[in-house]
Amino acid sequence: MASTPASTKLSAAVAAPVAAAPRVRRWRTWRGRRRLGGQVLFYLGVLVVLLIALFPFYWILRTSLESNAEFVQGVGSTNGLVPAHLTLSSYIDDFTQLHFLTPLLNSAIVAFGTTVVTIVVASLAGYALARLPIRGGGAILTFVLLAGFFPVLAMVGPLFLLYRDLGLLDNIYPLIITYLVYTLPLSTWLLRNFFAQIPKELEEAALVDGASRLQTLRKVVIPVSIPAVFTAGILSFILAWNDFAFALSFLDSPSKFTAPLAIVVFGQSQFETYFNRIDAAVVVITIPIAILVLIAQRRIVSGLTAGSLKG
Amino acid sequence: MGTRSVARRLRLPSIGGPPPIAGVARKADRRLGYALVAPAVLLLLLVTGFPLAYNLWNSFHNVILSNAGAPQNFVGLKNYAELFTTTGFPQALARTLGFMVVSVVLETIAGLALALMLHRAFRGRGLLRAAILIPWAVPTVVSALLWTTMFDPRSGFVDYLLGILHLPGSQTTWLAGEWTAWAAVLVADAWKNVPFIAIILLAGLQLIPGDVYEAARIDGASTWQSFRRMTLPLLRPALMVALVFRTLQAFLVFDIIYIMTGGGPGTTTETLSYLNWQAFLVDTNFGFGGAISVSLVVISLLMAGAIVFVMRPRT
Amino acid sequence: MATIELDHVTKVYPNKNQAVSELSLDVADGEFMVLVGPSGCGKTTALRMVAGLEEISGGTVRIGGRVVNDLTPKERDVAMVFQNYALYPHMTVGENIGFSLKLRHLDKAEINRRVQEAGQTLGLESMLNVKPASLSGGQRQRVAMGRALVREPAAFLMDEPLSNLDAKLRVQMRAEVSRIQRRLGVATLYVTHDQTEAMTMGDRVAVLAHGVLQQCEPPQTLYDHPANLFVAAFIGSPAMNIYQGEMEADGGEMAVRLGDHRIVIPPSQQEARPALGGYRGRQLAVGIRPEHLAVGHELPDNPSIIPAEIDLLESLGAEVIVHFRIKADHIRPEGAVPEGEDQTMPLTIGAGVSDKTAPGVARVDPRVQLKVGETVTLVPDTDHLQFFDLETGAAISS
Repeated sequence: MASTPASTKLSAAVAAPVAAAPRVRRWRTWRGRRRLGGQVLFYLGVLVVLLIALFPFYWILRTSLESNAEFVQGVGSTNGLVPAHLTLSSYIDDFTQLHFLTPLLNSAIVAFGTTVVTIVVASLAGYALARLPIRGGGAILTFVLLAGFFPVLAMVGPLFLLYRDLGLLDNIYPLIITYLVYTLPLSTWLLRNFFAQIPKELEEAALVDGASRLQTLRKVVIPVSIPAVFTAGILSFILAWNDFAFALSFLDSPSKFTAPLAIVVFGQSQFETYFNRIDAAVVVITIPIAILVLIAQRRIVSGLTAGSLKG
Repeated sequence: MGTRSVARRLRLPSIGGPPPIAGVARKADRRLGYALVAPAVLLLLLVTGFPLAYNLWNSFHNVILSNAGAPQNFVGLKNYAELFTTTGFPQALARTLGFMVVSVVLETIAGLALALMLHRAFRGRGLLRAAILIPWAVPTVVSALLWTTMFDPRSGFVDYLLGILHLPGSQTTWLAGEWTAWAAVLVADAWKNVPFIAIILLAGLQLIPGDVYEAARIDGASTWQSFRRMTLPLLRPALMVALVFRTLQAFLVFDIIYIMTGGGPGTTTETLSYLNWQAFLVDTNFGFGGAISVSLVVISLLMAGAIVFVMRPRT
Repeated sequence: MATIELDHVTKVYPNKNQAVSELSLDVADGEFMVLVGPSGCGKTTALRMVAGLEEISGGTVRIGGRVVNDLTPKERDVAMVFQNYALYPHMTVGENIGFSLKLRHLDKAEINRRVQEAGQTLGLESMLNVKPASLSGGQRQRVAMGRALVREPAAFLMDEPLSNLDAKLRVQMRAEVSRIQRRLGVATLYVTHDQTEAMTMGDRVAVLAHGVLQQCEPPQTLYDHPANLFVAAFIGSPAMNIYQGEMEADGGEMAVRLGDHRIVIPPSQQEARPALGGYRGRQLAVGIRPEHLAVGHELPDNPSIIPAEIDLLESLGAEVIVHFRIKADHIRPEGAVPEGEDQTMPLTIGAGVSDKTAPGVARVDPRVQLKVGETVTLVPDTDHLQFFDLETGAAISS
C-alpha cells in the first residue's frame, strides 16, 4: 500500500504526541515511589536470603583458614571477618595426620555404588510400573514410596544384628544396599512418571520392529530418558552421600569411615575441639556437592518436584 | 478395596498410573513386569520390612546383647510398659513433638515466603535458587558442624555479631543451655530444610495459572485476600507434600542432635530417634529399642496418614 | 504368500465398549486395502489387532495363512507406519531404518546395503546420518516408510500416515505411498478417515461404521453402488443428496414423490432393482449424486423436474458447486459427515427458510449462468438414482 501524503501526515501526527510527552520520572509520582520502594525492599530481601544461605559457608571457610593459635585466641578485633593470618595448615593436617582422604574415598565408593544400583533397579521397576500390566501396580508403588518415610533409626538395630551375624559390620559395602532406602523411592517415582509420559507409539514401533520388551527398554526407552536418569542419579548421589546414622552404627575402624562420620568422630575425639580443622574437612566435603548443585540445579529442582504435584 | 480406589478416595496424585501398553502376550508381559519390580521391592523389604519384623519380635523379648548369657525369653509387653515408666521416653516424646511443631510451623512459613520470592521473575533468580539449594544438598553433618561453629562462643559468628552490635548474649555458650541449644538446633535444621520446602511450594505456585489472579484483581481482591483465598487453597497439594516430608523428618530428627548436642545438655535435647539409637548401640538393648522402633513406625504412619487425610485436595 | 485375513474379528473393551464387531476381511497378496470410516469407527483398533498391539476379543486374524492371535508383533513379522511416525529421536535416519534389521542380527554390510537402497528409493540418501528432529513432516513420513521397505514383511500396516501433513503435501505423498506400496508388493492395510485418500489409493476400500463393516469393494463400485445409506453419504465429495420419498401406490409407471415433486423411475432402474416393486405405497430414501443433477432455467420436456432455489454458488474454476433448496425431506445418515466438515453447516445454509425444505448440492459446468437466490430447474439423471430402505438403510436392489 503506497503511503500517500495524507497517510504520512497522519502517521506523523499520531507519532508526534507520544514522542513529545515528557517522560515522568519514576520517583516523582507517588505510585512510582511506592513501586520503586517495593522493589528496593524486595532486592534487599533477596540479599538477606543470599547472605543467610551463603555466609555460613564463608564463615567455615574463614575458620578453616585460621591457624591453631588464632583459633584458640578466638574471634575478636584482629581476628574478625578475615583471620589475621591465613594458613592452609588445617587442610594439610587433615590429610596427613587424620588421613582424611580415605573417608572421602569411602564415601565416594559407596555413593557411586548406591547410585549405580539405584539407577538400574529404579529403571527396571519404573518401567514395569509405567508400562507393564502388573496387577497391584498401585500397591507396589505405594509401598515403594512409603518405604522412603520409614524411620532410619528403627532400621539400625535389626540391620546391625543382621550384618553382625553375616560378618558385614565395619564394612562399607553393605552400606550400598542400605542406602537404597534413601534413593530408591524417589528415583523409582521419578523414573516411573517420566516413562509414563513417553509416547507409547515409540515403544509400539519398537515392538513391531521386532524388539522384545527388554530390548525396547534398553534401546529406546532409556536412551530417550537420559535426562531423567541423570536427574535420578544426581539426587541419589546427594542422598547417599548425606547419610550419617547408618555409618555411625555400622562402621567401627577409622579406615572404614565415610566422610560425614569421619568428620564428626575426629571432631569429638580431640580434647579441645579445633573447629578450624573440623571446618577444613567440612569445606572439603562441601565443595563437590556445591559444584554439583551449581551445574545441575535445574535438574535437581525438577527431580524433587517431578510428578509429586501433577501426579 | 484395591489401592487404586483408596488412592482415589484420598485423592493422592495418580498412584494408579497410566494404562500400560496393551498387547498380545499379556501374560508374558505381566511376568516380566513382576520380575522387573522384584529387585526394588525385595531390596526395600530387606531394609524396611525385615527390620520392622525383627523389631517387633525383639520388642516382645528380652534382648540385651551386653548381657551375654542372659536368656532371650519372651517378656510380653514389658518393653512397651517400660516406655512409659522410667526411661525418659515420655519426655523425649514431648520434646520431639514440640520440636516438630515449632520447626515445621516456622520452616513452612519461611519456605512459603521464600517460594513467593522465587516466584517473581527477577534478575538473578537462578543465582538465588542455586544459592539456597546448596544448604539443602550438603550433608546434614555439614549443617550441624557449620552451625556448631557459628554458635561457638569462641570461634563462632553469632556471638561475634552480638558483640559488635552490643546486644546481650554475646558470651553465650549456646549448646550448654537447654533453650539455647534447641535454638541452635532449630537454626541448623531450618537452614537446611527451608530451601526444600521452598522448592516444593514454588513448584506448586508455578502450577497456578496466572489468570486466576487477574480475575481476582478485577473482582477487587486485595493482595492479601487473593493470597488467602486463591494462592493458599490452590497450593494445598504442594503444602501437603511439603508437610508430610518435613513433619516426618522433624519427628525423626537424629543427625543434628547427635552431632550438635549429643542429647545434651544432660538429656534435654534427646529426641525419640536419639533414644532409639542409644537403646540399640549404647545399651545394646534390642528389646527395648525394638519397642521404641515399633512406636516410631506406628506414630509416623499415623501422622503421615493424618496429614494426607486433612490436606487431601478437595476438587 | 503375504495375505491378511480377518475372520469375524471382534474387540470388546473392559468397559463393555465394543469397538469392532465381527469384522471379516481378506486382503490379497500385494493388495492395497483401505479401511475408512469416521473417527471412532474401529478402524485403528482393527489395524492394531492385526499388528499385535491390541488384544483380540473374538475371531481370528491370519497373516500369510498363519493364525497370529497369540503372537507378539515381533512374531507376526508386520511392518507398520504410525500416525505420528514414531521415529526414534536418539537414532539417525539410517539407524531408524535399520533398527529392525539390527534386532535380527543381520550382518552390518547387509544392513547398510538395505538401508542405502531404501534411502535411495525414498530420496533420503543425503539424510541418513541426520537425526529425525531436523527433518520435515514429509521426510519423517518417508523414514517411517523406510522402516517397512528394508524388511520385506509379511504385511504392511499404515495408521493414517498422511493426516499430519498439510493438504498439498498430502496429495503428493498419496502418489508416493502408492508407489512404495507397489514396490513392497505385500498385502497392505491402510487406515484413514479421509475418503478421498481411500478412493484414490485403495485397490479395495472397506467402509467401517461403529465397528461394523458396511461394504468392501473397489472404489468405483462403492461410489456407483453403495450398499447402504452410510456408504452412500460417506463416499463422494460433495456428498450424495439423499431425500425421503414415497413411492406411488399404483399406476402404470413407477414414480416416487419427494415432497411436492414427482420423479419417474425409468425401466433401467426397475430392471436393476427388482425389489423396488415391493415398495409401492411405502416411504424410502432416494439419493442422487451432485454430478447427476442438471441445472437450468428452461422447463425441459421432462416429467421429472424439480424446482430449486439457489442458496450459494461455489466456483471451483473447472466446475461450479450449486447449493440449493428444494421442498422435500432431507436425510443425513448419522456419522456420515466426513472428518473436518462441520456437522451442522449444511443445515444452516439457508436457515430461516420455511420448514419442509431440504438442502442439496449439484455440480454444474461453469458456463451455465446462475445467480444466488434465483429459482432454477433441476433435472435428475434418473438412471443414476439410488434407493434405500428407510428402516435398514440398505440399498434396494434385488
